[in-house]
Amino acid sequence: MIEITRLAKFLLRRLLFSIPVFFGVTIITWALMYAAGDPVRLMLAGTPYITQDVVDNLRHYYRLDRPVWEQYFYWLLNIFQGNLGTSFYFHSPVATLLIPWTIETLKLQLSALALAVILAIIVGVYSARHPYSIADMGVTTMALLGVSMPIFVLGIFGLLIFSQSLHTLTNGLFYFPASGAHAWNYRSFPFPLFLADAAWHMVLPMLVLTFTFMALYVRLVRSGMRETLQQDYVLAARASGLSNIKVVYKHALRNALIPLVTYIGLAIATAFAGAPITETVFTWPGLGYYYVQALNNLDFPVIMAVISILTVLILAANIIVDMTYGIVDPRITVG
Amino acid sequence: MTNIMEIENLKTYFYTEAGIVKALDGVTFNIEEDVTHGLVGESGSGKTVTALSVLGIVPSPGKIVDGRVMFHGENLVEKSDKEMQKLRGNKISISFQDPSTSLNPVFTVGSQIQEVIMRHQDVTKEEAKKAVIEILETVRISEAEQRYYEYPHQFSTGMRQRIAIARALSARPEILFADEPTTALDVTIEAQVLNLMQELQKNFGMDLVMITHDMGVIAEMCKRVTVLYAGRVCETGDVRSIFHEPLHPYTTALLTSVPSVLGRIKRLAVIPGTIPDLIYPPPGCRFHPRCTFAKDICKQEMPDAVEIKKGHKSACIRIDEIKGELLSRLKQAREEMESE
Repeated sequence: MIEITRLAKFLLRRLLFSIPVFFGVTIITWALMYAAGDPVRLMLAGTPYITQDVVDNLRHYYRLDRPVWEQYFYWLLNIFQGNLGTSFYFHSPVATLLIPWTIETLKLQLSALALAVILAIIVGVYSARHPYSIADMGVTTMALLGVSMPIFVLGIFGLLIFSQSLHTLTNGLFYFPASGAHAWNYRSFPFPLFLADAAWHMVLPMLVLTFTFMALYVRLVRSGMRETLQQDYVLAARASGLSNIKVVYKHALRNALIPLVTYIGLAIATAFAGAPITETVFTWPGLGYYYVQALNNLDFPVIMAVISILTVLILAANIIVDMTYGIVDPRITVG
Repeated sequence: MTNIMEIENLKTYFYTEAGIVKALDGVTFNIEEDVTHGLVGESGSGKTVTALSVLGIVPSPGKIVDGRVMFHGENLVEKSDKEMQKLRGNKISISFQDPSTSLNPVFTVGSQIQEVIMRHQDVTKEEAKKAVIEILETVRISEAEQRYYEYPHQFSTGMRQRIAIARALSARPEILFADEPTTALDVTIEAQVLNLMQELQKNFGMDLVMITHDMGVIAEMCKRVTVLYAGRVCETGDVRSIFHEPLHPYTTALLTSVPSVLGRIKRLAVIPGTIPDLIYPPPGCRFHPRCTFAKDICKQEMPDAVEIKKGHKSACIRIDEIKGELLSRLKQAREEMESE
């Protein structure tokens, strides 16, 4: 009973703290957006013979003629009613646009994240158990490379090797596509072919993402395991006659994974944001790609929708991560 | 008296970047059946490494390079890790010095003992759980049924030590190495734990090897004792014989440096110098740089422990010459303590 009231209090307190953060982020974004330029001028760019009347009408239509603070409150009122607005650029409701984008992004991000975590645990544990061996030095070098190499360099190398060079070498028989999530005519594909096509398109961007995620997690797992493997409780577990697998993957790994939980929790939240650079490099039709497009087009409703959803998700992830600490590490009490 | 375990010329080296640390350099002694054996020496003398070597869990970069550990007619050093896993925690057990670090913080104490029982005995989960609660009650953890589900940090240090001992005993081993079981505890708890260990030893019929640097614990608990110094055995024999008539200058020095509660001592007797660098140990007798009786001969030969009296071995080459002097020094020190 006491546990539950304490948890409820903790949740309430964290939720209250989250409210000013949400307003802070959205107000700053709003201000920066307006400083970036005039969307109406951008819409009309290149169109000849525009009269002031047309400009004023458009401004009025998008409520851009009202004071900035009034527009912000109008937007706020709308989102609390579940209305994310209409895209300046696509001329359709933001909510209906976001759904397919989010699906594409999550498909890519979550599969890369899951693969990266599993591989990082296997590779990191191996590295920690054989420190300074040739394999370990290879792993740490690759991890350093992955952490320090920008994704646009890595992505383009990936494209160059596995898309272009492979295409040339095999005379176009075998290669990975350089852009998009589906073939142009995928809607006409029967179901198994549709899946195969989607998977084929996903390989390159997913591998690049997996590599960058993994670089960070391998380092975390390796250093965590190096520490826990030297603890007395691991020696005690060995002294009890437990198998090596149990000693390493139960007693040592469980303790080494505690710091990883923070990173994974935040990674899942930011997964919704997509990876703007990766998605741009591979022209992946996800949230990250369209977000960059929206910034270029000064598509205010899309920018604000993405930013506010992301803010809520990250705030929620932080609270959830703090709560899972209590489960992962019994020494920590939440509240 | 039959021996349950015979350790012969055991050598365990640590291959560090600075050089080869000769943690054990030819340790030989026997553990007799039904007799509590004490293993004493200062920090770094190789007490813990001896126990870890016997169990075959010397942490990297350590390796057993030579020697034999005979147990039920088998040499444990030659056994594979898989074979040793069946013995560890089952026939031969160890409880560690610091119970705050030797219990895994993220698992309940119940599950940590249960997994040892399940590993070594063919029992169902429920049976194992019952056995855990039973053994927790044996080490006097009250409300064992509820406390089964608690984590190590929810117990006091004394309780944690008892839980660690319970885990070591859970599969009913034949030998228990108790590595400084009371060092992390305060004095009142120390007495409780020592009493408990004596009781458990009687009830379980196991052999106990007490690893300690506390001569008081040895006097209270042990019948036989082996004195280690810098990875070598100095002296091994009956506790009475060693306390009344030590046959090695190091043992004598240890005994004279035990403070007494009877009188005020002007100055605590200490052994000058420190334990030698085990990468470049002194030639000959390891103790000669700190020994007041050292002669040239001590620097030349590395002596093995030989029987001087029945059941009492010493590794001092000059023991026949200095025996009388050692005894009078010990007497003098004891008289001084009592007279003041």
